[in-house]
Parts: sequence; structure tokens; C-alpha cells
Amino acid sequence: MNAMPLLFIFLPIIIALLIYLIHRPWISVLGFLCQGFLSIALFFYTRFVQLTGAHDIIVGPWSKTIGVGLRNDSLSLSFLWLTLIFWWVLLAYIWSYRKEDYKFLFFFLFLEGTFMGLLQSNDLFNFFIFIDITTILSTILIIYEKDGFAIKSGVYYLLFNSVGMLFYQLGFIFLYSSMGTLNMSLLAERLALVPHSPLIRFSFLFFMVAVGVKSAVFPVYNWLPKAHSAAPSAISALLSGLLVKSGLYAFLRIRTLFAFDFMNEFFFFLGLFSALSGVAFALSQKDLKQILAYHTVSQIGLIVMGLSQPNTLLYLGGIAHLMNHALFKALLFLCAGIIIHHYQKRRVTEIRGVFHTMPFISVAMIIAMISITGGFLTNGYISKSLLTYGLAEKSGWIRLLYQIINLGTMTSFIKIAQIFFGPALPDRRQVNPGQWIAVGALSFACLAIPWIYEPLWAGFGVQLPHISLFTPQKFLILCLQGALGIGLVRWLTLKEPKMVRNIRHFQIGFGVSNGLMLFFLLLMIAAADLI
Amino acid sequence: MKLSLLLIFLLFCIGFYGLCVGKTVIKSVFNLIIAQTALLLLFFQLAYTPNASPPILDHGTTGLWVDPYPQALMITTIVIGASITSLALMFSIKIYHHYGTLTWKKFMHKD
Repeated sequence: MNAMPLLFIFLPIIIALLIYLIHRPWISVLGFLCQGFLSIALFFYTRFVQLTGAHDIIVGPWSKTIGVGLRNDSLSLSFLWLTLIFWWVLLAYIWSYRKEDYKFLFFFLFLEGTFMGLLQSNDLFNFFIFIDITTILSTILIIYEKDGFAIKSGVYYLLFNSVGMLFYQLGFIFLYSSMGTLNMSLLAERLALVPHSPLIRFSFLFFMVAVGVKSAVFPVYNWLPKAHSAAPSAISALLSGLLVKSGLYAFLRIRTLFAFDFMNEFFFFLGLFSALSGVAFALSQKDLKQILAYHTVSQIGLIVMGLSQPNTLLYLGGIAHLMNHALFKALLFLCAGIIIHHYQKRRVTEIRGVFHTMPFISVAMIIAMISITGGFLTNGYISKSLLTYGLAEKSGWIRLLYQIINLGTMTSFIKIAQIFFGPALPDRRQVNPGQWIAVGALSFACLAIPWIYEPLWAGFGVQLPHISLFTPQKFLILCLQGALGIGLVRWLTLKEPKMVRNIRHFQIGFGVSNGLMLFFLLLMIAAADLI
Repeated sequence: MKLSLLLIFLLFCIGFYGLCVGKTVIKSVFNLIIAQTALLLLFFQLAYTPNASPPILDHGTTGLWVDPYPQALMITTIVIGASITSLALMFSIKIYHHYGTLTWKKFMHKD
């Protein structure tokens, strides 16, 4: 069992190398074998960790202070399962047109290994290394098609994230020079004993800048819509569903490490503002994948809002929404990819008649759309209800803003729903079993989770409260929001106010967004009351 | 000690200022390297102990050794930085072939 965490990192990387080196059609099947083997291994490993508690290993004969540490607890295990499910689904999705594209499979499987390393690492420096390798590999996957838009988004993504990681380096340099180790378990023990000097507080703020950049919160989210809409669809689903969560995972880990609670309110409002601005930008867009990418920003805002309040219902809602968002956003991007590939158009206003052309994909997409708006009988309903109940203690205008965010989400998905109406295209789509399996599996997961979420989450040590699957009050609110949303869509598309057009063409340059990063740091220093 | 920290801070500020106002991709990459170098120097400076011997086992037994950990970490950071630099430079070649310019404002607005 001790070598198990290493297996999760190195097996996908070795398989990726084998596929790239051997270069024959039959070798690609190794990808599935690797997935199957990893699933079995992870199943037994989960049982082992549940029995014995968190599992800690040090690679090599070093002491705990300086060795490479890996640690698995229930949080990292749930993320590992999510990673594994994602790679199953995406392998099925890309199989038909990428199975002889060995270069793509190499980067794709390599990314799985490094992402699993990121999740298990118990060492702030290794965390940094894995985040950087993940950034590099995902950049290569974003520009894989090598069209102009993809390349310029890719270079923006790479450079901006590297600048963000500069602050991460500053953070761990300060922390090492004051605490003498980078091992997270040791740091947590030592930080609890000493009074927090300015150096430690500054290192926390620097970490939070990097985490903010990686998870795309309010002033520094500009890279996300570009990168996520430029990538090939399978990679968009991966980025939006899973890789952007690496920032949130770091947020969780580093905040439990420092155990500071003087920034809770600040992060709450940060999440609220990123949710609001994400929705505002999404409403003005016309490109299908851009809209979905901006909704990732707004959903991340909701998750940050939840995660900022430890030990409350809101926190559980944030965790649940983190997992559920991964499933339904991936489903949305995969369906959007199939639709865009078939129509060869990206604008919502130009695509028509999807329902008659591809009924199955449409049904899956509708499930995902209901889920993201928090409609009944889907996984989004569970986590959004938890967030709503958690917000009940907050003041009235925060709840109002939350409902406005929901209304905005509803409106822009009603706008997307226009693509279903209209006559069918003359050429029906060829059945592609891999893509059907991927889409079907994700929509099944979205529909099944509301029924089994309690035992599912109890397996990872989280006790979620029971939520009644239907309440008249919620139904009324959803109907009201739907009606308002339809009105808003008509107003937005028929009149199209000048402001909407201005927001759509609003671009932030690379230099300015670096300035915004500095502004973000100053904002946090002001909020933390350090000077 | 104080003076070198001040110089390192200045170097980081130059790099970050360049990142904020740099107009082309190449300049952004260069300024990223400058800021990263400042961080490397900062870590070495903070780990520096006066009158200590190098951390090699049979080099002498003064008892006071320099902490070898920062060097081990920074060599890895240099490798990662080099790979990011080479990737970004490769992309800038592609961007130049595609758009005929490397200025952020010009190619970000083109389709």
C-alpha cells in the first residue's frame, strides 16, 4: 500500500511514454487498460484509507522536514475519484478521432499523472512543481489545433499563470525562511504554536494571490474565458471541469494550513463579486463556448463564497457545488463541442434546430442546463439548495444578489436554449458510440446524484444534511426566474442595449491584467489590515 | 544584508513593472525571467549563513553548514522556468507567423 500514491502518479506517465514511443494503432488501448488498473487500485486504496485514516508517505530515505511527502485523506481521495472519472469519460469521447494521434494521447495521459500528483502532494514546493507542469501541459493541449485564436489564448494563459506563480514562490520563500520546512503536516503543527509574524501573514497573502489567479476569481479571471473557449472541446471540458479546481484545491489546503479566519468575509465578498461579474459578462456574449466559460467564472465565485466560511452549511454547499459543477460543466462543454463540430458555427444566434438534428445530445444538454440553474431532480439542485440554506443567516441584500446571480444564469441559459428550436439540418449526424457513452454517462451522473448523494458523500466522511427534492417555494422562485429570464432574453436580443455591446467588446490587455494582479494583492493587504 | 535585500526588491520591481507595461510578448517573457531571478536571489540571500562551510560531508568539520535545501529547490525552479520560457518563445514565433506582429494590443484584437 505504501507505493500506491506513487503508482497513481507514475503509471499514467509511463503509459503515455509507451504510447508515444511504440507508435502503433494497438498500443492506444493501453490507455484504457491503465484506467482500468488505476480504478481497481484506487478502489482498494480508498478502502485502506477509510480503515486506517489519512495515509502519509515520504519518498526516499529522508526525514520529514526535507523529503518529498505525499498524503491522502478523504478530500484528496474524492478529488482522485473525480479525476479518474474525468479521464474515463474524456478517453471515451476523444477515442474515435484521436486514437491514432499518439502525441495528443501522450500529453493527455501525462496530464493525468501530474494532476494526480498535485492532489496528493503534501509539500508546498512539490505542489508548486505539479501546478506548473499542469499549466505547461494544458497550454500544449489548448493550442493543439494550432489556429490563431488558440495560440494567442494559450500564450496569454501560460504567461499570466506563470506571473501568478511568482507570488506563490514568494510565499514559500517567506514561509521557509521563518518556519524551516515546507512539509504541510509539519507546517500546520508549527504554525499553530507560534504567533503570526508579519512575514507569515504576508506569505499567506502571496499564496492567496497565486491561488486567486489559478482559480480565476474577481480581478484576475481574464485568462479563463479566452483559454477555455479556444481549446478543443474535450480539453475545454477538462479545463473548466477539473483543472480550474486545482486553484480551489490549493485554496482549501493552504487555508487549513494557516488556519487564519480574519479573511473569511473578504473571500466571501470576493466570491460574490466574481459570480456577479461572470454572469454580467456571460449575458453579453454570443459565442456558445464563451458563454459557458464565463459561467465557469460565476460558478467558481459561488464555490469560493461557500468555501470561505469553514464549519458552516455554506462550506458544505461549496464543496458539493465544486464536485457537481465539474460534472455538469463538463457535460455542457462536451455537448457544445459536438454541436459546434457538426454545425461549424459558434454563435448562439446562428445555430438552429439542434433538437431535431441530434435529439440525444439535446436531451443531455438540457439536463446539464437544468442542473447549472439549480433546477429540480439534478445534482445542481442539491448544492444550490445547500448554498441557499447556508445564506439564510446572511443579510437580506446578499440573498437578493444571490438570487440575481441565479436569474442571470437562468437568462443566459434560456438564451442558449434558442438553438434547440427550428427545423432540422438535412444531414443527420453519424452515430459516434464513444461520444454517446461519454455524454450519456455524465448525464446519468447528473440525474443519479440527487438520489444517492447522502451515502456517496458519507463515504468520503462528509455528512450532508437531507434535502427534500421538491418544495413548492423553490418551484415558485424557479418559475418566476424563468419567466423573468424569458423577458430579459427577448429584451436583450431584440433591443440589444449599447452597454451590452460595449461589455462584449471589452478587452483587458496582458499588462493591465498584471496590474490588476498587483491591485488584488493590495486589496488583500488592505483587507487583512497589515499596514 | 539590508542592501542586498533592497537590490533584490528593486530587481523584482523592475521585472514586475516591465510585466505591467511591456508591449510585446518577448518583453513580457524577458521581464518574467528578471522577476524570477530576483526570487532566486532572495531565497539564496535568506538562507545565507556567514562563515559557514558548504554542505558536503567530508569538507571540514566547523559544525556550521549552509542549508542545502534552498539550492535544491531553486535548481528545480530554474528548470521549470526554462521550460516555460522556451514554450513561450516558441509560441511567439507561431504568433508572429500568424499575425505578423508580437504586440499584445495588435494581435489580441485580430481574429
